[in-house]
Amino acid sequence: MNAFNLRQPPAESVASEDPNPRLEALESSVAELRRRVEATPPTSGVALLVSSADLDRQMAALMIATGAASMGVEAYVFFAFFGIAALRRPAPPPRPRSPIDRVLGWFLPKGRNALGLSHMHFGGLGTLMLQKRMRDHNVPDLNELFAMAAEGGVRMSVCATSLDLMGLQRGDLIDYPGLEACGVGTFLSRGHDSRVTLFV
Amino acid sequence: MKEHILDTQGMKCPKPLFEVHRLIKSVAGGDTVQVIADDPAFPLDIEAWCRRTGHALRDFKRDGARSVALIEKAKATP
Repeated sequence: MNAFNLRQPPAESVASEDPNPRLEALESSVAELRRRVEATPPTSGVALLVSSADLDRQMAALMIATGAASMGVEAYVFFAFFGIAALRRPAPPPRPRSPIDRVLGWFLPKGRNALGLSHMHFGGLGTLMLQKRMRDHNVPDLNELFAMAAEGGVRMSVCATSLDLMGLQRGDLIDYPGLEACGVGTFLSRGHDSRVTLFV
Repeated sequence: MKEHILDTQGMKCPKPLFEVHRLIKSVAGGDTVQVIADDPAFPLDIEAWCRRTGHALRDFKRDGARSVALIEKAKATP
C-alpha cells in the first residue's frame, strides 16, 4: 500500500500540472549542456613539466612523450629549473659570461649525456653501470628518445625564467624542432588542452 | 589489401609502439601489419594502442616470451 503510494504522485498534482513549463526547463537545460560541450576543447593531449635533472626522471618523461606520440596523442614537454640541463649543448659557442653564470654553468649538468641518477649514482659509477645495463637490455637512451620525440612531433619548450636564472641563453641549448623559451602561460594553455598533465 | 610484417624483437618499450606507429602511417587503410615482439610490455600495450588509435587488433598469439599481433589499419584513418 505504502510502496504503491510512493510510486504514484498524488492525483491532484498531476491534474494541476501544466506540461509546458517542464518542457521549457528541459529545453533550456539541453541548450546549456550543448553550449558546455561545444565550449570544451578537445582533450586528448599529454603535457609534461620536467623540473629535475635526474636521468631517471628525464627518461620517464621522454618515454611517456614518445609513447604518446606513438599513440597518435599530441605530446608537449616543458623544461623548467634543473630540467633544462637536458637541453644544454655540451660545448656551446663561447660568449662573455659573468663570473656567477660561469660557476652555475659548471654545476648544472652539461647536457642529456651528463645527467646522473637520483639513486645509485655512486659518484657516477652507478649511473655508468646502469647505462651499460640499459644498452645491454636495448632500452633507448636519451639520445635516441630525443630523436624519436623530434620524429614523432613532440613539442618542447623551455622556461625562460629558468634559463635566465641559470645564466643560459637559447644559443647554449640544443637544436630541437620548434624549441623556444616561454613561460607559465604557454604551459598552462597547453596543459589546459591536455587530458594528462604530469609534473616530473 | 597488403600484408606487412614488422619484427620488433630486441626492442624495449616504447620502441615497439613507435615502430608500429611509424609503419601504420605509411600503409593503406585495410592493410594488415603483423607485429612480432618480445618486449614484456608489448601484449598489454598493443591492445591499449589499438583501442586508442582505432585500428583493429585482429589476432594476438603468445608463444613464450614472443608474441605476434595482427593489426588491421582502419579504413578512415583516425
